[in-house]
Amino acid sequence: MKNEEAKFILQAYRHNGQDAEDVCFQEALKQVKEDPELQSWFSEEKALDEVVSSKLLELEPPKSLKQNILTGSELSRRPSIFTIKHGLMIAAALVLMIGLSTLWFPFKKEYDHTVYTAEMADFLSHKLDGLEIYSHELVDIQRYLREAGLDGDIVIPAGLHNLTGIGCRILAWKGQEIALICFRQEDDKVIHLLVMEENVFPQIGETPQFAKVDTWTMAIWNRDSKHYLLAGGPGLSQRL
Amino acid sequence: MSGTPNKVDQPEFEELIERYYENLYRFALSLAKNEAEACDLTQQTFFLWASKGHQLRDKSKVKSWLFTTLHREFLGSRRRRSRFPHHELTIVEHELPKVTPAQFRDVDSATVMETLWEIDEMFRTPLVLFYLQDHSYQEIAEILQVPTGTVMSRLSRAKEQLRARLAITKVTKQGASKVVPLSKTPKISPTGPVI
Repeated sequence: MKNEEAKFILQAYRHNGQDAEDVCFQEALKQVKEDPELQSWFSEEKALDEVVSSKLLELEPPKSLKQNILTGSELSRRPSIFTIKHGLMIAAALVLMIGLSTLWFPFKKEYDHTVYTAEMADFLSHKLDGLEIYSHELVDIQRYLREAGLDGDIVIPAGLHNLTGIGCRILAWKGQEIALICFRQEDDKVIHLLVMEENVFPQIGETPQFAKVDTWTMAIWNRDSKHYLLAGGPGLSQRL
Repeated sequence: MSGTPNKVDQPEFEELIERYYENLYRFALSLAKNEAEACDLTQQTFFLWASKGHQLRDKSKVKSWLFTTLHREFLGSRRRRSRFPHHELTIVEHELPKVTPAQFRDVDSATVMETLWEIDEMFRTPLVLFYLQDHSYQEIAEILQVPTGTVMSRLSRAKEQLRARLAITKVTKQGASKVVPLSKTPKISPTGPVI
């Protein structure tokens, strides 16, 4: 094992020795004993960790926090003032309201997809500063989406299958949740797949439509009641 | 608050609060960057435990559950707050003086937290969990739902950023005129995106 590799591993070693038995560190720890240069680096690393850690642990929560947690949970456990009768009345009122709203607003939500693509282009160009989960594995991304309450059953276009995944983030647009999944292309540039849980653009069909928005080439299509948007550079059509 | 967490055992619940609320608060503060939101996230996490904790079969996972839940609540609150939340990201591009632990023994904990805030969130989150000392790298991977190799790589990168920022703190505290500039670098751009 090279020293650089040992350093990389030992940076995850807690200075208080809690990881001393962890097999993952054994080889690197053995090397520390045999190499004075590595030993010196490790001593300093642990000392710095100890300082930062102790400073962090010195931070005291506000005095009221613990009591507030206890009081909050106590209040939450008190019997509700609503009886089953009240609950039934509320449920009946809700059913009535939903029924009336259906009469008043009989049409499904529909939006202009050009507004959507323009806003997404602006977001991708200027506001995307990070992702919520970084993983090369699509299964990790799908699990994250499911745990966040999204469907996760996304049909990834065939042309993206061989690309390396980077990660994903969940966005919201006009009340619709959108899964943004990023892939790294062979030329190191990033291609973005945005999947809207509910299709609010019924005018778009299953055949991809292409558009140039700002610096982005975009393809949009619907599939299985979801709306898909793929944003990248020239040659995007080969990804579908 | 809504819902009625009736299934919690009160002495156990109080013990749980006693054991974890401080580190949960510190973790929340590192994420939210303000005290009020950190308190709110901590309270919300315990409230969720009181409502849903009984569903956790493996009780040895309580700690991971609490930290994972707080992290998710934080991500969710940011998502709700704005359509496209934006965070300032900075990197240090210049050579910085070497940092030694002794130079930071006198730095107060608030300054250390402020320095941690300057680290990219992606790297800051595992680093704070690491410095809370309560979590092994495997547990951090579980909380953040990323592979263990990713945790190691983020810790390495986070420490690099921390050293750079501590060096700036040192330069500033010493009153030196040469303050190293920070540049804002977008993570992704249409022409040459890098994450």
